[in-house]
Amino acid sequence: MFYASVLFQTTPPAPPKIDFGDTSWVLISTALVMLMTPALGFFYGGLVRRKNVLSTIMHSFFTLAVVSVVWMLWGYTLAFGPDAGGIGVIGSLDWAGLNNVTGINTNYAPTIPHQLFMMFQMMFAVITPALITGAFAERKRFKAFAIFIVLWVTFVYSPIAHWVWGAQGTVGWLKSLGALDFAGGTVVHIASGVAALVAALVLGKRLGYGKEEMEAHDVPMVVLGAGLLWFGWFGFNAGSALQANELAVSAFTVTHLSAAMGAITWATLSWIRQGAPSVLGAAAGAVAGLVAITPASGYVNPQAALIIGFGAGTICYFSVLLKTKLGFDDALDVFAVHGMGGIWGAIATGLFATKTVNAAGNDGLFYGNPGQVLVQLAGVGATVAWSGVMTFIILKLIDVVIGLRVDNKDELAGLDSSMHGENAYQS
Amino acid sequence: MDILLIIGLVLFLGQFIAWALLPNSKQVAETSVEFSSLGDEAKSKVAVGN
Repeated sequence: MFYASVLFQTTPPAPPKIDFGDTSWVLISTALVMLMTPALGFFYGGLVRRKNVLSTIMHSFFTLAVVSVVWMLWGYTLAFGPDAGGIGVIGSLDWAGLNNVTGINTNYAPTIPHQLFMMFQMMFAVITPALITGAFAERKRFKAFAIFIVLWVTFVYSPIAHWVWGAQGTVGWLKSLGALDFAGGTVVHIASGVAALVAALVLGKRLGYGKEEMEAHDVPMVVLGAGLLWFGWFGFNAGSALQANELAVSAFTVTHLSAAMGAITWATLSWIRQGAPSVLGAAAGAVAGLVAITPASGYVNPQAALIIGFGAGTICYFSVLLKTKLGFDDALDVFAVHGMGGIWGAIATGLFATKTVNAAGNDGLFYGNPGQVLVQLAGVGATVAWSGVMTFIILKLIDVVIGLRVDNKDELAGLDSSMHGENAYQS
Repeated sequence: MDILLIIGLVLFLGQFIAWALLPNSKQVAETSVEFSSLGDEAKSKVAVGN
């Protein structure tokens, strides 16, 4: 009798406990991802003409400030808060103003403070609209931009993040389908890439586009930005393990290898086609490789990372060519690199994912589960549709109310002086 | 040997071999301008508006 009572006695589960190693790693990762947004400012800033470098950098820098506040006030709860309505579409306002964002949340990260998880996710929310700014560089009114990023994070980013990552109460609907997106290929790159395409089409071409040269004014600045992005991306992907463990190391490894292969491939293609290995091309190729590995980084092995990086360099390179043929003015090729790179990464996740890397993930086509590709395509389709339609509506509303584009006179003078009253260079 | 590893190896070595066959240098003036900023321009910074 005594033994039976001992045998069937249920012991309560141990209360969640903060792990100092995990917390340290995610703190560092959060800072790494934060650095990516100013790095993006350098990357984009170097690519524009010198009369627009400050306005372009300001797009990224100001996004860092504005979206941080939006995220604290209502963005985080819409994306990660308790599900509203029980259908996995949007979070409720229960966590608005970071109310109840304390202690540990076992649904998202069982070994780090909930507030740290919120901060880590904040940096993702920051960089996503900043990516879009490359499409409307050199011609968008500053106040139109400022209003746009607030609306876009609210009505585009937060819902998609909830679909893919929401897990408080009812899980997000894409997550429940089994879509794999380890670090934001869908949420960050496809969403921003498609928004960039729509923005480029709605705003129209820059004055003189296709008639005069509009080349990068500072290539070293571009390479500096790309290098810092590469550095920060370790936090973006390996940090998404949310623990300092083997999965984080695996994500770290494949992230680096894909970036390397992307840089090599784009540079080689430019060498074949133009007769010289382009420095800009190597920088862009590294970013393309980083974009593509993002959704796959927690599910694929190093061998697959080489193929993903090669695919990213190739697909994004030819997407830039195609854009030129089609004639729309996505000024800094955001759709070609982030949109197409993100779509390739999402599909590649469905091809190369394996449970030997992450038991919590799924196997892909190469490991006997072709259905995962279809699930990934569903995620891509939903994100493309939502981001495309909502971005169009937001831009049209802003255009009607305050106007999207600067005057021709201001555009010709450059946005640094006409929008900000400052110039980057003295001569 | 893992099929993915073989594919990755071929993709890298294919480019490695291509480097040996590609030209050493290129005149700036020959550079194509069909690319946008992220493309392959290596031209000097003399464009209108710069």
